[in-house]
Amino acid sequence: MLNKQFTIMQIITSVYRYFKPRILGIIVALLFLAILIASVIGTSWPTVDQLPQNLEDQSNIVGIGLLIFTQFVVPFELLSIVLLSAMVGAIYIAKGEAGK
Amino acid sequence: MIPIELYIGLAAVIFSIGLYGFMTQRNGVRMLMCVELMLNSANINLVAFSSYHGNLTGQVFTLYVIALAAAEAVVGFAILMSIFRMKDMIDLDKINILRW
Repeated sequence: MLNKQFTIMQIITSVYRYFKPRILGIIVALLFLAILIASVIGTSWPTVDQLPQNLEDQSNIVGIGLLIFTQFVVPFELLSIVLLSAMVGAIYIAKGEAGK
Repeated sequence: MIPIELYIGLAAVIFSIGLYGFMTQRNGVRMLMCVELMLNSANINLVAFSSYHGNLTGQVFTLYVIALAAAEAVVGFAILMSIFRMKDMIDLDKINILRW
Protein backbone atom coordinates (compact mmCIF):
# COMPACT_ATOMS: atom_id res chain seq x y z
CA MET A 1 0.00 0.00 0.00
CA LEU A 2 1.24 3.40 -0.86
CA ASN A 3 1.13 6.01 1.82
CA LYS A 4 0.12 8.65 -0.67
CA GLN A 5 -3.38 8.03 -1.88
CA PHE A 6 -4.12 9.27 -5.35
CA THR A 7 -7.69 10.11 -5.89
CA ILE A 8 -9.31 10.49 -9.26
CA MET A 9 -9.56 14.24 -8.75
CA GLN A 10 -5.83 14.59 -8.17
CA ILE A 11 -5.04 12.59 -11.28
CA ILE A 12 -7.38 14.72 -13.33
CA THR A 13 -5.86 17.89 -11.90
CA SER A 14 -2.31 16.81 -12.65
CA VAL A 15 -3.23 15.80 -16.20
CA TYR A 16 -4.94 19.16 -16.66
CA ARG A 17 -1.87 20.98 -15.34
CA TYR A 18 0.35 19.05 -17.73
CA PHE A 19 -1.74 19.61 -20.83
CA LYS A 20 -2.92 23.16 -20.22
CA PRO A 21 0.19 25.03 -21.48
CA ARG A 22 0.61 22.57 -24.36
CA ILE A 23 -2.90 22.57 -25.78
CA LEU A 24 -2.00 24.61 -28.86
CA GLY A 25 0.84 22.25 -29.77
CA ILE A 26 -1.44 19.25 -29.29
CA ILE A 27 -4.10 20.78 -31.55
CA VAL A 28 -1.64 21.64 -34.31
CA ALA A 29 0.06 18.23 -34.18
CA LEU A 30 -3.27 16.38 -34.24
CA LEU A 31 -4.50 18.47 -37.20
CA PHE A 32 -1.27 17.73 -39.06
CA LEU A 33 -1.63 14.02 -38.27
CA ALA A 34 -5.23 14.04 -39.44
CA ILE A 35 -4.28 15.68 -42.74
CA LEU A 36 -1.48 13.17 -43.27
CA ILE A 37 -3.63 10.14 -42.44
CA ALA A 38 -6.49 11.38 -44.62
CA SER A 39 -4.18 11.92 -47.58
CA VAL A 40 -2.54 8.52 -47.08
CA ILE A 41 -5.89 6.73 -46.96
CA GLY A 42 -7.31 8.74 -49.85
CA THR A 43 -4.43 7.97 -52.19
CA SER A 44 -4.55 4.84 -54.29
CA TRP A 45 -1.02 3.52 -54.12
CA PRO A 46 -0.16 1.66 -57.30
CA THR A 47 2.36 -0.60 -55.61
CA VAL A 48 0.20 -2.04 -52.87
CA ASP A 49 -1.10 -5.09 -54.65
CA GLN A 50 2.16 -6.00 -56.32
CA LEU A 51 4.57 -8.32 -54.62
CA PRO A 52 8.23 -7.33 -54.60
CA GLN A 53 10.28 -8.81 -57.34
CA ASN A 54 12.67 -10.73 -55.13
CA LEU A 55 10.28 -12.19 -52.61
CA GLU A 56 12.19 -15.41 -52.05
CA ASP A 57 15.45 -13.54 -51.52
CA GLN A 58 14.72 -11.12 -48.68
CA SER A 59 18.35 -10.29 -47.96
CA ASN A 60 19.42 -7.11 -49.69
CA ILE A 61 22.70 -6.41 -47.93
CA VAL A 62 24.65 -7.50 -50.98
CA GLY A 63 22.64 -5.22 -53.23
CA ILE A 64 23.04 -2.25 -50.92
CA GLY A 65 26.78 -2.81 -50.70
CA LEU A 66 27.10 -3.09 -54.46
CA LEU A 67 25.07 0.08 -54.96
CA ILE A 68 27.13 2.02 -52.42
CA PHE A 69 30.43 1.07 -53.99
CA THR A 70 29.45 1.31 -57.65
CA GLN A 71 26.69 3.76 -58.46
CA PHE A 72 26.72 5.94 -55.34
CA VAL A 73 30.44 5.97 -54.63
CA VAL A 74 30.81 9.74 -55.08
CA PRO A 75 28.21 10.64 -52.38
CA PHE A 76 29.84 8.00 -50.18
CA GLU A 77 33.21 9.74 -50.41
CA LEU A 78 31.58 13.15 -49.94
CA LEU A 79 29.83 11.79 -46.86
CA SER A 80 33.14 10.82 -45.32
CA ILE A 81 34.39 14.39 -45.79
CA VAL A 82 31.16 15.76 -44.28
CA LEU A 83 31.41 13.48 -41.25
CA LEU A 84 35.08 14.35 -40.73
CA SER A 85 34.42 18.08 -40.92
CA ALA A 86 31.41 17.80 -38.59
CA MET A 87 33.51 15.85 -36.09
CA VAL A 88 36.36 18.36 -36.20
CA GLY A 89 33.96 21.30 -35.86
CA ALA A 90 32.06 19.69 -33.00
CA ILE A 91 35.27 18.90 -31.13
CA TYR A 92 36.48 22.44 -31.65
CA ILE A 93 33.20 23.94 -30.41
CA ALA A 94 32.76 21.60 -27.45
CA LYS A 95 36.39 21.76 -26.37
CA GLY A 96 35.93 24.96 -24.43
CA GLU A 97 38.50 26.61 -22.25
CA ALA A 98 40.03 23.41 -20.91
CA GLY A 99 41.78 22.67 -24.17
CA LYS A 100 43.91 25.79 -24.18
CA MET B 1 2.29 -8.64 -47.14
CA ILE B 2 1.68 -5.60 -44.98
CA PRO B 3 -0.07 -2.83 -46.90
CA ILE B 4 2.00 0.28 -47.43
CA GLU B 5 -0.57 2.52 -45.74
CA LEU B 6 0.45 1.10 -42.37
CA TYR B 7 4.08 2.02 -42.91
CA ILE B 8 3.19 5.53 -44.01
CA GLY B 9 0.72 5.84 -41.14
CA LEU B 10 3.44 4.82 -38.65
CA ALA B 11 5.77 7.40 -40.18
CA ALA B 12 3.04 10.04 -39.95
CA VAL B 13 2.39 9.24 -36.28
CA ILE B 14 6.10 9.40 -35.42
CA PHE B 15 6.47 12.64 -37.36
CA SER B 16 3.52 14.14 -35.48
CA ILE B 17 5.00 13.11 -32.13
CA GLY B 18 8.25 14.79 -33.13
CA LEU B 19 6.40 17.89 -34.29
CA TYR B 20 4.45 18.10 -31.03
CA GLY B 21 7.59 17.75 -28.96
CA PHE B 22 9.44 20.29 -31.08
CA MET B 23 6.65 22.81 -30.65
CA THR B 24 6.03 22.35 -26.94
CA GLN B 25 9.38 21.54 -25.35
CA ARG B 26 11.86 24.34 -24.72
CA ASN B 27 14.75 22.18 -23.57
CA GLY B 28 17.46 21.99 -26.19
CA VAL B 29 18.19 18.29 -25.78
CA ARG B 30 14.53 17.38 -26.04
CA MET B 31 14.15 19.49 -29.18
CA LEU B 32 17.10 17.69 -30.78
CA MET B 33 15.55 14.34 -29.84
CA CYS B 34 12.31 15.37 -31.53
CA VAL B 35 14.20 16.43 -34.66
CA GLU B 36 15.72 12.95 -34.72
CA LEU B 37 12.22 11.45 -34.49
CA MET B 38 11.09 13.46 -37.51
CA LEU B 39 14.18 12.45 -39.52
CA ASN B 40 13.66 8.79 -38.71
CA SER B 41 10.02 8.89 -39.77
CA ALA B 42 11.21 10.15 -43.16
CA ASN B 43 13.62 7.19 -43.21
CA ILE B 44 10.72 4.79 -42.61
CA ASN B 45 8.95 6.28 -45.63
CA LEU B 46 12.04 5.90 -47.80
CA VAL B 47 12.60 2.28 -46.82
CA ALA B 48 8.93 1.36 -47.25
CA PHE B 49 8.68 2.80 -50.75
CA SER B 50 12.03 1.31 -51.71
CA SER B 51 10.93 -2.13 -50.54
CA TYR B 52 7.59 -1.93 -52.31
CA HIS B 53 9.11 -0.81 -55.60
CA GLY B 54 11.81 -3.48 -55.53
CA ASN B 55 14.42 -0.77 -55.96
CA LEU B 56 17.33 -0.52 -53.55
CA THR B 57 18.12 3.16 -54.16
CA GLY B 58 15.88 4.33 -51.35
CA GLN B 59 17.60 2.15 -48.79
CA VAL B 60 21.03 3.39 -49.86
CA PHE B 61 19.68 6.93 -49.58
CA THR B 62 18.42 6.10 -46.09
CA LEU B 63 21.94 5.14 -45.06
CA TYR B 64 23.17 8.55 -46.21
CA VAL B 65 20.33 10.27 -44.36
CA ILE B 66 21.23 8.42 -41.16
CA ALA B 67 24.87 9.49 -41.48
CA LEU B 68 23.88 13.12 -42.10
CA ALA B 69 21.53 12.97 -39.09
CA ALA B 70 24.46 11.80 -36.99
CA ALA B 71 26.53 14.77 -38.19
CA GLU B 72 23.65 17.14 -37.44
CA ALA B 73 23.17 15.73 -33.95
CA VAL B 74 26.90 16.03 -33.24
CA VAL B 75 27.00 19.69 -34.26
CA GLY B 76 23.78 20.46 -32.38
CA PHE B 77 24.95 18.90 -29.15
CA ALA B 78 28.30 20.65 -29.44
CA ILE B 79 26.53 24.01 -29.80
CA LEU B 80 24.30 23.15 -26.84
CA MET B 81 27.34 22.25 -24.73
CA SER B 82 28.98 25.55 -25.61
CA ILE B 83 25.79 27.47 -24.74
CA PHE B 84 25.46 25.55 -21.47
CA ARG B 85 29.01 26.47 -20.57
CA MET B 86 28.29 30.14 -21.20
CA LYS B 87 24.87 30.53 -19.61
CA ASP B 88 24.40 27.44 -17.39
CA MET B 89 21.08 26.60 -19.03
CA ILE B 90 19.78 25.31 -22.34
CA ASP B 91 16.33 26.82 -22.23
CA LEU B 92 16.10 27.94 -25.84
CA ASP B 93 13.46 30.60 -25.11
CA LYS B 94 15.95 32.66 -23.15
CA ILE B 95 18.89 32.38 -25.53
CA ASN B 96 19.33 34.98 -28.25
CA ILE B 97 23.07 34.95 -28.85
CA LEU B 98 22.66 33.27 -32.23
CA ARG B 99 20.16 35.87 -33.39
CA TRP B 100 21.12 38.26 -36.11
